[in-house]
Amino acid sequence: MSQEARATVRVTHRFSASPERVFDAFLDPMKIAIWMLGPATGEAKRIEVDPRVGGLFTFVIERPVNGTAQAMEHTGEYRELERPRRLAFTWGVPQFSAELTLVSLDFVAEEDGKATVVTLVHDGVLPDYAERTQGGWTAILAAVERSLG
Amino acid sequence: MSAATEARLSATLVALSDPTRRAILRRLARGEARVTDLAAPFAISLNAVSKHIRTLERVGLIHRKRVGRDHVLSFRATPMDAASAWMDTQREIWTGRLQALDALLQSEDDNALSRTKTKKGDVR
Repeated sequence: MSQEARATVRVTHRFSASPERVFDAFLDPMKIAIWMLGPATGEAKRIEVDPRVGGLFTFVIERPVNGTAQAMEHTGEYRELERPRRLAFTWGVPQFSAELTLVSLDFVAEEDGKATVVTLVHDGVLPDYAERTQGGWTAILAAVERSLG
Repeated sequence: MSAATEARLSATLVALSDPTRRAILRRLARGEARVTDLAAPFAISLNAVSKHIRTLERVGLIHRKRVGRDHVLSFRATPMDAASAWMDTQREIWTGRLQALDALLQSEDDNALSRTKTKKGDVR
C-alpha cells in the first residue's frame, strides 16, 4: 500500500524580546542546545550550524529512554534566512525516516520591537506512510505485549 | 494532543488491553483472514470472537470486507490517523521548544537585570 499523506503543523508563541534576538536564538549553537531539549531532560551532544542558504545543520540530542541514553540526530538545510523576519529549513531525523520535512518561522515585531510573535509551520510530506504505520503498529503491539508480561 | 485524538487513543488502548484481541491483531498483521479462520485457534465461541472483532473494528484497527458469503478481515491503520498522530507529536514538541527558548531569553533578561543591580549596589 503506497499512499501519500500531507500534514501541516502550526504553532505560535509570543516572546518578550526583539525579533533580532529571537531570530538569532534559532541559529546560536549555545541556545539551540537548550531549546532543542524542550521541557524534557536530556543533553545536547553536538550542535553544528552553517547559517547560510544551502548550509547544513546537525543537532544531536541524547535522552534517557528506559534508563539508557539514546542519541537522536536532527539534520537539515537552511533554505531562507531573512533576519529578522523569516527563517526556513528542511528538517529530518534520518534514523527514523529518510524523508525531509520543512520548517518555516515568521517573526513579527510587536510593541515597537519589544515583543515578537513567532509563527512556526512544520510541513510534512509523508509518502508510504500507511506502510510504515503498519510497521509502527506491529511494534506498538509488541511493546504492549511486553509491558503486560 | 487534541481531545479527539486522545479519546481515540484511549479507545485504542482499551481495545489492545485484551490478550485475545492482541492475538487476533497479530494474526491479521501477517495477512487478511476470514472470521471463521480467525476463530479456529481460540477456545472460545465464534460469537465471542465476533464481539472482539467488532471492538477492534470500532477503533479502526480492523477492516471488514465481504467476499461472496465470507467476511474477510484485515489489519488497518489509516494514513489519516498516522498523519494526525504525527501532527499532534510535532505540535507538542515545537510548543515545548518555543517555551524552552522563551524561558532561556527571560533568564538572560533576569541575569542582565541582576547584574545591573549588583553593579549599582557594589561598593568596592
